Amino acid sequence: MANKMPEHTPAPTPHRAVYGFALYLSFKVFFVLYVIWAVVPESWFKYLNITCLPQRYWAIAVPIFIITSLLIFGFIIYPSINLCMTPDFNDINTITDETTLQRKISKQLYTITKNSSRDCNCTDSTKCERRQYLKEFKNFNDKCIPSAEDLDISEVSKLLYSKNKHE
Amino acid sequence: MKKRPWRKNLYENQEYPDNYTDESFLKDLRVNVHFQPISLKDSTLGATLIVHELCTVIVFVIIYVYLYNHWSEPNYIFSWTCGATLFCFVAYRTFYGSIRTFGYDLQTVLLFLVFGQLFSPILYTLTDTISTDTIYTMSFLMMIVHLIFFDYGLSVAVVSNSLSLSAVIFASLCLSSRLATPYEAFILMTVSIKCFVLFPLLRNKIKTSFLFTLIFVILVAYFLTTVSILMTYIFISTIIFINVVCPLIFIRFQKYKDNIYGPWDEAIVQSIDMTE
Repeated sequence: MANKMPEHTPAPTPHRAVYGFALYLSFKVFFVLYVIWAVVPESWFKYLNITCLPQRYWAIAVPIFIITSLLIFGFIIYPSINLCMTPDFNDINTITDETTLQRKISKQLYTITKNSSRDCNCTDSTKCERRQYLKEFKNFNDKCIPSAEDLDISEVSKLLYSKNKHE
Repeated sequence: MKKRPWRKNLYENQEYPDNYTDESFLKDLRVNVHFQPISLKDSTLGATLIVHELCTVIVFVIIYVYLYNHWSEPNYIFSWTCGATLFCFVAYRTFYGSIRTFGYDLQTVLLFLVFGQLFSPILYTLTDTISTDTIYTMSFLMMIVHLIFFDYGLSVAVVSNSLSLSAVIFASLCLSSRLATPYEAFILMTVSIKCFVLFPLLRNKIKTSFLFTLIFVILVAYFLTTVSILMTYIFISTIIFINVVCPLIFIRFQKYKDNIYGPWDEAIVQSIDMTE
């Protein structure tokens, strides 16, 4: 069963477990090697004829560089991008006109589907599910997750702050 | 007023507190569905595959050291490796393939030899201006990449034959620029093709065994003593770590396995039959 799964599934597979174990062990080993490189005096390495190691300056510099860039991105750049993307109160994007995607658009679709005179191309009319579909459509439409549409700011305010929410 | 029975449905349990669950909540939870316990022998045999590839990389580096220090005649190394390759090729074709592709194989070899000879002066000066320490660090990292992405026979998304081969060819290209003449660089490139393209093909066919691994490791350790005694100690302890300690830890850690499966897993399409 495991080998029938698609390749990029996140589900655990026996082969992935082996690689996970290898990753776990190699991270421990690399951490020990890193600490040895960062802590042991350079004269010891020279004594062992190991001269091709990078300067130990990088043992501190690279982690600090990564942490600093993460901090700057997470606390300055990313919130700044969000602030830049927020439209002004008098921005053109906050204005509603006839091209706005209003709600209840799917109900119009239902009406169009119901009123269309075109017959379906089923060969066996007893197995045709068009009538059933039309019967179920309204029920389905009320229960399903609505499609993306613009929310009217007054409607949002009414729902959030008005005492009588159903007026 | 009697409460309605609790159901696992977010919108139906108005009388119950938000964090309320009953015993039916996790009734679909299953643990370790695909778990196949791996025996110590299997895991040790699996680890020998990594040992083989590590040994191959070390053999390549030993040949580089011999060429670099002029400890051996370049022609001597070339003829010995070619002889070994020819022997392995004949064995491979006799036992595992048809003789019919012999013309094609000969054509590939000739093509490689001619183009290798032609381009070795260019390849050899490609990374000439980079300092030796950088070259060694880069080669080390590329060989690590090679070992990580090498195909050890498990179907995992991280395995990439092309990446592992490119990495190690890049490493041998870097190393070849440290040699004295373009001809030696050509020999090193030939050896790298033999080690990292042809040898894995042969090893795939030979079923891995402890005897083969032992002979291979002893041979590599013997030649490594001529390079550095310290490196031999490090090599042997690494081999013991990979081939003895790691499988033992793996077997020990199997009892901690705790994979959960349930209705929250992503759907797996078993079969689709549109006619029904």
